[in-house]
Amino acid sequence: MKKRYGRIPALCLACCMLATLAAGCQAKTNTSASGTSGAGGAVTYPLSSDKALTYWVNLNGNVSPNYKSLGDTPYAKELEKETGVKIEYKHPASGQATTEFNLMVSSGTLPDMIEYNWWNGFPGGPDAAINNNIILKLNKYITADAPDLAKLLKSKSSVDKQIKSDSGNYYVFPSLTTDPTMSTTYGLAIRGDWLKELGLSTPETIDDWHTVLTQFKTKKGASLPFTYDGASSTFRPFESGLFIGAFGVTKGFYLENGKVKFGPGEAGYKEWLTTMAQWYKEGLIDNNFATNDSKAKDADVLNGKTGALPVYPGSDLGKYIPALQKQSADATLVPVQSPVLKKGEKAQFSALVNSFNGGNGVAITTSCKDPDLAAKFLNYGYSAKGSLLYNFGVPGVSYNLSASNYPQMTDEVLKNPKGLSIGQAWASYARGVYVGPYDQSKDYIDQYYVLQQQKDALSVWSNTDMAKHLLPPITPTSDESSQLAKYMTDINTFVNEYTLQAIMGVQSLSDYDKTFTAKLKSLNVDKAIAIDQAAYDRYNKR
Amino acid sequence: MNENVLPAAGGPGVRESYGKRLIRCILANKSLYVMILPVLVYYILFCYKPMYGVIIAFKNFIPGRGILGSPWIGLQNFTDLFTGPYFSRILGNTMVISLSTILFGFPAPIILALLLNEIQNGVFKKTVQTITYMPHFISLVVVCGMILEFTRDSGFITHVLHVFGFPLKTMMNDPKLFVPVYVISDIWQTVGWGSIIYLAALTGIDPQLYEAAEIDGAGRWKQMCHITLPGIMPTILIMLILRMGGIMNVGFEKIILLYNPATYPTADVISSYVYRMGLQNFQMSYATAVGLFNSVINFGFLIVSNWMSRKFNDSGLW
Repeated sequence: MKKRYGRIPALCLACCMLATLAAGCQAKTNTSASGTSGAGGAVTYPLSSDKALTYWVNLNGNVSPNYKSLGDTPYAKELEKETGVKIEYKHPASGQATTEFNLMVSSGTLPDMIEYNWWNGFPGGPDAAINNNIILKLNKYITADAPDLAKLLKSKSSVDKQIKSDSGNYYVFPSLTTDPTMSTTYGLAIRGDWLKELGLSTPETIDDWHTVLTQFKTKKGASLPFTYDGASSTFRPFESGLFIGAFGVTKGFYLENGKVKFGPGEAGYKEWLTTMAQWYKEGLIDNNFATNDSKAKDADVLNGKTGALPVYPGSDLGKYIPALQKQSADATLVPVQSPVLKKGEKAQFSALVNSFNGGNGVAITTSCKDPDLAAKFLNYGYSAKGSLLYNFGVPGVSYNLSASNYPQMTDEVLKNPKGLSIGQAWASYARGVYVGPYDQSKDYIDQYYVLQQQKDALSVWSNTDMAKHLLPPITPTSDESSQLAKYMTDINTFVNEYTLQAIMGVQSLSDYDKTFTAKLKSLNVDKAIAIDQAAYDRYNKR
Repeated sequence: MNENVLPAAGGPGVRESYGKRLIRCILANKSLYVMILPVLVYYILFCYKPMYGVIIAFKNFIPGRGILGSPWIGLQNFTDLFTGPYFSRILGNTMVISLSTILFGFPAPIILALLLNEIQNGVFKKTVQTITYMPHFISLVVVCGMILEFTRDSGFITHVLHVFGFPLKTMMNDPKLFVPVYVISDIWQTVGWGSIIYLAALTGIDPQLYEAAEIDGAGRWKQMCHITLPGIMPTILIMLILRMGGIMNVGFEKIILLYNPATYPTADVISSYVYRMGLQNFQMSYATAVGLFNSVINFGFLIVSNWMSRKFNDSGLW
């Protein structure tokens, strides 16, 4: 006989299921910002406070393998000890930072501080974020509570201009890389041992490169002389001006004598496309560059199929050179300049970035009940002691100050006993290897780049005129930015599609003016340039 | 309907009001209604209540100001969508990919189910079933990674096809090959799992019909056409109607994982285009407008296919 379930258990089950719906409801926190500014003047750390502040930031890829929350790291514990402020860290799911940021901002429930790309990550720009009551205008807080940041900005007016909005509002405690020698961290590298073996000198012009790549293919059996991983970003090297810079343009917006220009709209773009299509046909460029992922690229380099590629010194050279040297003692990848058209010219474009690193910075939200405390906390990164902590970590554990006040990293970081890479070990104790509310010090990169080739990379790649062409952090107005977004989606779709098809030989370049230039104009490229030009003019007046 | 089970209160011949009948119905089947209550609440709270958010398709949603505080812009988002230079292409691609998937992907599970039904050897049948529905459990990201690897110029699928005369080139760089690869990999992944419901429907066919047909001299093929197919026709039609309701929802994850600028002409669909639009600047209003447009078209298809099903086969979803 089957047992019948009674009514009571069934009803209870239904009620339990209903109750789980209520689990999603959260009480809306009633917040109001209290705002009496401090008295100004030097801030003494540790601050005496028993309040905890909430801090939202993306968990960096060097920290996440070892810690679930930034608060668990020795860095955060030291920071709390030194500043006297307890911080509760909140992190978005890996890879979901943009989505979660947008949801968080739309929902109205905000933590006290948000570290994000406020420069162009918020729709409408930083002034819109202030005017729509998301974040606070920081001008009075910087004057009153952040003397170290104020001092830094006063001494470097170009940086000051970059981090303000068009209306003169400070909106973040910025991530800074003010040392220009550290600002070009992406460029070309080539197999130096092959060059020596074939008796070739370092290629400087486009024609040199053609010769070198051809010899790599014919004499060294490199089936893919030049390659990169286009799966994540189809045109990354060209957006940094590599190769394309020889023709006087780059794949994107740039400055020329105070005028904003768009590379694909200029004459040099056709010449670059023609050259690339020619190289592709001759098999000098990996035919799969657009679909390669990083694993395919690694395999190509380590199997000797590739002789030249664009690299990051830290992650790429640091990975490839030791592995290649296991195969052959004098194998090496050396950094080289992006080629020019005629010998003797100086390269015009590179991967140079602005001091306001990636537009990243920490904003104080309107939900923060004690903005003065938050401002004082964030000011620490720009003070002398704070800079040491943010860059190098815990004194005596991750670094030691030498007699000449040089922060020498210890073996805990450089040769981590648990086998962590330098990047991960460093990230446990400091921020140095990634951005944050502080100024990155040159002493970090000198020690992070252990190989000579890595150290050379910075100087080799920064020997360009890119500073003349780099667009500073301009901000279109709120209305303009949604217009610009609409234009650029269509423009980028068209340019990327045409470019890829032209390089692969599917699209012929014979009717270029009609098929490309005219179509580009019909997609409102002139209006897009005008919006950026207006933003640039406003920038200059900041 | 429960009405037949309930004795009419107040004696025969007395017409009850609808409300009274409803209450009596509910009271008589209390436990059933209590069981369905959470589901009902779920749909109301998570599907119907959020629908009011569709309103931002007609506004310029500004995150800080909330939904009510954002300004109205009427049909501006829709105008932008329809007059965009790529609209006809993305709409065309969406329809092509969607219809190809239905045209080739819909009959596949049915054919597999019919074939499996004919197999006498139990072990073989179970083996085939298990192997065919295993791909369903593989994550889409892994499947797309495999597709990209196998269709490269050094991939094994390309080499196999090369024997038949295909050139040794990366298939995913060719816009002409995108739709076939997409559809065929979709069939490979879903055919086994999709056939389960048809196999279940097949067990509902009275075996006496088969016996009668055999006595009448019908062969295997005639039996399939006249007994099996009509027997599962209601299931087929309902699955088709449900499928038509999702015609505009070409899953953008698979497209994005497989496409690159070389294949935009055939691979760029509405959802992937809006995804790129969303990356530049978080265009919530625009994305909502596109979603609304998608839903309206889907709804239209759903109604039409249900009407056609009722007209030609007397069975439909409602």
